[in-house]
Amino acid sequence: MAKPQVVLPSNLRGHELQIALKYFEDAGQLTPREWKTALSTFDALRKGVVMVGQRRITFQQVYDRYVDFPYADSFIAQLMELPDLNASAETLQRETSFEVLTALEQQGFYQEESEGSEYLAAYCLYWWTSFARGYRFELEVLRDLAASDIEFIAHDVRTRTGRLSPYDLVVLKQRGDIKNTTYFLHLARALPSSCDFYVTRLFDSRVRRYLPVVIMTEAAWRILDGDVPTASLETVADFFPRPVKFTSKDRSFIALPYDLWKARVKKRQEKGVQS
Amino acid sequence: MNKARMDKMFHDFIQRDEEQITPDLFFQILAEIEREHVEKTVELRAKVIGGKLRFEPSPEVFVHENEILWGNQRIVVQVS
Repeated sequence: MAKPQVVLPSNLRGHELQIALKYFEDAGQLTPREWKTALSTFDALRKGVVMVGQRRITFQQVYDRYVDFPYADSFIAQLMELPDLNASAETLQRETSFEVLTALEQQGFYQEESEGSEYLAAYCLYWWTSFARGYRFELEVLRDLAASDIEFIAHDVRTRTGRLSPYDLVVLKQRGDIKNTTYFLHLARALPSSCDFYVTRLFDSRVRRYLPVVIMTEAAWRILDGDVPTASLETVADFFPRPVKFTSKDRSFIALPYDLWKARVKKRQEKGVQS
Repeated sequence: MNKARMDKMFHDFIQRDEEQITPDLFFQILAEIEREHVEKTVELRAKVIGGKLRFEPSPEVFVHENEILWGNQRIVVQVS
């Protein structure tokens, strides 16, 4: 393969690229503002271009052709075979991530002589990790809902077409999305949000692990329960894990722990309201 | 590019536990995203002449009489 030439999006500045690499070095050191910059940089990098001879492909196309297409279906199929996601999914994700990086190198997309190719590798690894974490979380939630006898209809995660559905599941006739934390934050950058509720996860320092949470529109919440206290985005964490209302992009949302949402849903379904 | 350094960075990342986004950090990031959308405020000045709005020229955005061209949109402001 001829030495690829990488052209980064012209709207990205040096400090934004540095913050993207800082995410890989130690995301724990990112400030909230740097997190926002990292998220927008990983979005913007999709427009980067790789030129190999006469061929010109975007970072997004490299990801689709050389990462998503060869690895995604097989990764999901292997995840679905795991009896205990908590015990083995992390190892599977790490093994596949190493394979992705090696494949990029072997295809010539990540090499010493190609200035800027580290950002293509970073772009692919970032989105692959988001994908892998996202579907590990989604399968955990779907398994838990089934085990809790919650009635729901879920999209088919085994195929790319199924995964690209506009929502992941329907519960109580409400459309929901299950999104890993950073994926949810990417979604929050885009306008408008289209689902009635989102299941995401936040790290609980007290128990030292991620716990699922639900963020739902005010209208969706009204079906489940009544009034809740209101907070600004700056103070909402002070109220959590109690249900709390906040406003984002001129829309009101309620944040509450997943177990509490599940209990409310179960109560409604026992009264005869179906999905 | 120092590839050896990049390789180490990517390998460490793959083997490291997921970053810890607490509720406090999560909502702070959401607040930053919220601010992003209002970071740039464009102020336009206008006068009403003969019952019609007339924008003054602006270096930030193209205006013509009572029209604003914003991206691929033409915004026409009428005085009621």
